Amino acid sequence: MIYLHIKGGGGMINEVKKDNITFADANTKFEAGTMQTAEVVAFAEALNFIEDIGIKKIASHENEILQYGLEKLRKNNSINIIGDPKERGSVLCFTLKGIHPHDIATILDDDGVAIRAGHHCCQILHDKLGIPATARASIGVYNDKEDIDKLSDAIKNCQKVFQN
Amino acid sequence: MDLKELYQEIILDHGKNPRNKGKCDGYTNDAKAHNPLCGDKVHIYLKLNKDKEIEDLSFEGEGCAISLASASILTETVKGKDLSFLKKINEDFLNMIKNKAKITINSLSEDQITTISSLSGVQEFPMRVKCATMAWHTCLSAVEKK
Repeated sequence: MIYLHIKGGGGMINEVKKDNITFADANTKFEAGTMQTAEVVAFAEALNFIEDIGIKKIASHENEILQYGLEKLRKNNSINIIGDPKERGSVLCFTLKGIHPHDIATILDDDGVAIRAGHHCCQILHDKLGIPATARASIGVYNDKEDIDKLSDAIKNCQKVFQN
Repeated sequence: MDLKELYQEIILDHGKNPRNKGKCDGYTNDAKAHNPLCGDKVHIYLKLNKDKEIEDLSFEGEGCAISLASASILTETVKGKDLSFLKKINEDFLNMIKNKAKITINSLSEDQITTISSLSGVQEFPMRVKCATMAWHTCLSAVEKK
């Protein structure tokens, strides 16, 4: 079977005549144009970064910050943390009484705290939970407890904005 | 840009206590819109009379404070007006959001202009522009629909 290319571009032809074109062999014919060199190099660097620290170490750091975050946010009675799985990835989904997640995200952003708001490509689960959207903070290897404190303060500030 | 410009008292008030919420009796036109990226929904109902006046209108929907306030302010502004007013105010409103233009319609009171203008803060928050404009676009498509 002959697979046809779907994109034309530099490097994928063999010979071009007035009434006939022959293409390069696979894989070259599927890789028209400039290779994503920067992305390939960056991907290798990203893998080095993870290997240098160690994936287990990263996971345990993220989990420590996550547990601290869960504890801290649970102290705020207006926050409802969504989901309580035994094994949780390092994401913290929540809703805030009387304030839509999109408003939370905008106000937190103003305080330098970047979260995501919406249904997170998971409309069916949100329907089941009976909520239109959630706010979600994701913890990475670069976050620390201070970031959680900032998140918690920014949420309190958000409540203040809406109390006016 | 101060966040307080976006979350002004007028907007918070309309967001918490939206006016004309629900399905108005005997509506003649309606249209729905949905923003799949954020999940905001709005459904506009209008009752038009023979003279093409908006006798009554209302909205159902869920979304952030900006989108609820915007729908609420829209219904308050155009209730009792005719369709040419609706088209003109819609143009003015979108022009205000997109090009920082002022509301020029002279049949509005100063209070009404202040209320509508409270939404102009979204122009500094590109992500939130759609929250503010969805109800207005939807209202127009409701009257254009046969």
